[in-house]
Formats: sequence, C-alpha cells, structure tokens
Amino acid sequence: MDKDNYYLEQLKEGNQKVLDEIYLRYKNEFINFGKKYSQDEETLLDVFQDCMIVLYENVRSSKLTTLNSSLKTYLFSVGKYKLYRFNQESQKKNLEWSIEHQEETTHQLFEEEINVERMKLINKAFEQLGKKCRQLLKLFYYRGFDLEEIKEEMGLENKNTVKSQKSRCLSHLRKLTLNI
Amino acid sequence: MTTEQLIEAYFLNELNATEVEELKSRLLKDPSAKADFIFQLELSKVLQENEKKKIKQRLQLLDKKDSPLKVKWWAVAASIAVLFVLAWVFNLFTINQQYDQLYSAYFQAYPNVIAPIERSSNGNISALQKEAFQLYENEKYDKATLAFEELYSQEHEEYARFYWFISTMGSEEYAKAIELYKQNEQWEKSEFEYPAKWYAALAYLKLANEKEAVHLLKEIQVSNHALSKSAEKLLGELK
Repeated sequence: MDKDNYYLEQLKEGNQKVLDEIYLRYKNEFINFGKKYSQDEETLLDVFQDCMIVLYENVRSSKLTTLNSSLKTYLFSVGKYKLYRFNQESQKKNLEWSIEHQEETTHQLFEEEINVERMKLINKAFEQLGKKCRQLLKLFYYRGFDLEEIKEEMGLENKNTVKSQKSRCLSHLRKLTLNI
Repeated sequence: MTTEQLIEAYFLNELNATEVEELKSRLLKDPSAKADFIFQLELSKVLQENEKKKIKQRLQLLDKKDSPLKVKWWAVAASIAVLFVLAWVFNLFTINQQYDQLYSAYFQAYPNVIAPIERSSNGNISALQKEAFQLYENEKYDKATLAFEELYSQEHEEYARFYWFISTMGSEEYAKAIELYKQNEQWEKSEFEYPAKWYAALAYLKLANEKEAVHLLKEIQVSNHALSKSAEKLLGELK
C-alpha cells in the first residue's frame, strides 16, 4: 500500500515513467484476468490502456487522492467495468461499482450540445496560444487547479491576476477559433 | 454566487446538485453566457482528449519496445545461462558420485536474466524486484526467498515463482523447494519449464530420492532444451 501511495504521489506530479512501470507491472496479469470477458488480446490491451488513462486522469485532476483498495484492485475493477460495457451479453449483470471508479464528472450540464467540429477548431487554436495561456488553461480545465493553486504553481501575484489572465486567455482563444 | 462564480466552481467539480440546477436555469435564460459555458466545456474536452491520446500513444510505444527486446534479451541470456551450467558440468564431471557432491557440483544458481531485461527496455524496475534480484545475486538466499515470495504474491509472474524456488534451494530448504516445484502446474507453459525440472531433479538428488531425480532428468534429456546434454551427463553419473 505504501508503494501504491508513492505511485499516486508521482502520478499526481505527472511522472509518466511511473505510469509505464505500473502498466508493465500489471499488463500481463490484466490480460489473463480479462480472458473471462474477451478472448481478443488486442481488445484487452486496449482496455487496459484506457484503465491507465482513467487512473492518470483521476489522479491528476484530484478526483482520486486516496485508494480504498490496492492500486491493482482499482485498475482491475475499472477494467472489469469497461469489459462489462464492452461485452453486450454481460450488460444485464449488476455491477459493484463505487464512486471512486467513476470516470465521468458527476454533473453533465449541456454535454449534449458539445460540437465536435468546434472542438477541432479549438484544438488548432489552442496550439497558437502563448505558452503561459496554455499552461493556465490546462491547469484549470484539465488539472482542476483552483485560482489559488494556479497562483502558486505559476508564481503569479494574486488570485485576481489569475482570474483576469484566465479570461484574457479564453477570449483570445475564442478569437483564434473564429479565425481558423 | 454570480453566474461566473458558478461556472468556475462547475469546472472545479465543486457544485452540488442544487447549484448545478441553479446554474442550468440561469444559463437557459442567458444565451450568451450559455454559449460561453459550452465553449469552456468544449475546451476542457479538447484538453482531456489530447492528454488521453498522448498517454495511449506512450503505452502503445512501450508495448512495441517491450516485446521484441524482451525476446531478444531472453534468448541471449538463456544461452549464456546454459553455457554456464555446462561449464560446471565439465569442470566437475570427475568428482565422486555421492549425491551431496553431485548436487554441489551441479547446483549453480540460475543467472538473473529478468532484471537486466527490464532495465534495458524501459529504465525502470520496481523497487521490490530490484531488491529481490540484488539479494539473489549477492547469494543472500534466505532474504531473497522472502522477497521473491512477496514479489510473486504481488505480480503472479512465473519468473518470480521460479526465482523464489531457486532461492529456496539456495537457502538449503530442499523439501520446501520440491513443494514449491510441485505446487505449480504452470511450469510447462512457461519458459522456465526445463530449468525448473533441472533444479527440481537436483533437489530430489539432495534428498536422496534418486528415482524422482532420474525421472525428471530423463524428461529433460529427451527434450530439445539446451539442458538435455547436462541431464544426460548427470544421468550417466548416477548409473
């Protein structure tokens, strides 16, 4: 468990070597475990990679800060859920599913109005933003840092500076998006 | 809270259900604020997707790096290991035929062929793995036994079981080693099948169970494994 906590700390800091280590450590075992659900190794590998992504994102965004079980149990239950969903026949079965394993955000407001084409434009425009803006927006929208934490991380003067920079970056991004 | 504050809190995942409803009703009344909100939502999805892609590519690359190298290194390491064992066989061939002495003549701890592979493929091995192999290489078999046992319980990898088994022999716990050998029905499916049989035969010899030892050695002898010559020689000495 101590080792698992160490892994979480490292992932939190964005150490992707640790991600590699965890991946290699449990990959084969996961494939054996997953054979109950799918015989296709490619699929199982793909699912396990997605589990690693869930783990990484949940740790990075502070949704996962402590483990109720071992890291392996966590990964395998995420994988089990994904395989269940993958496997049409098993969908009827009940899932033991704790809040810790949710990959979606709790609330999904207006998600149905998301426009994929616009997302592509935003993606291109984002690359044209300055480094500082990209860092700030990533910290807020991807990492889930609040203004205070961003202030610390980026060495900015105060929260208000963060706030004004954030809205400046956003409106710049919006302009860039419109011009693509 | 202002709408702006609500939006900020929404992206930090800090709103409860009531507050989300509140935000929703405000945005429905204010199309421009709603468009702004959706833009932010799309941005957050873009950032998520990009990171996902990067990780996915990283792991796929890791798989590519991992497999061919592993096979290659394994092949090299295994042939070195076999040469090593053979050298012992030739050197000590003429020593007398007491089981004990035969055992000491033939027992040579299997080289560490696992940890260097991991090191070369990604620069990372787990701390426990490193510790276990260090103990093993320094012939601290008592502690190595415990370390590999722990490693095996964590990973359920055949290599950990194999080195656990060899470490047990290194710490002169022959009966226990045999027990470990017999517990595993997976040897035949792993690359350690014949090395495991070879060591089990030596353990039987040490326990003066010539019958079982001969049985295993004959299996090795008729195999295509590089250990078959060693098995043949040892069988010759037992006659």
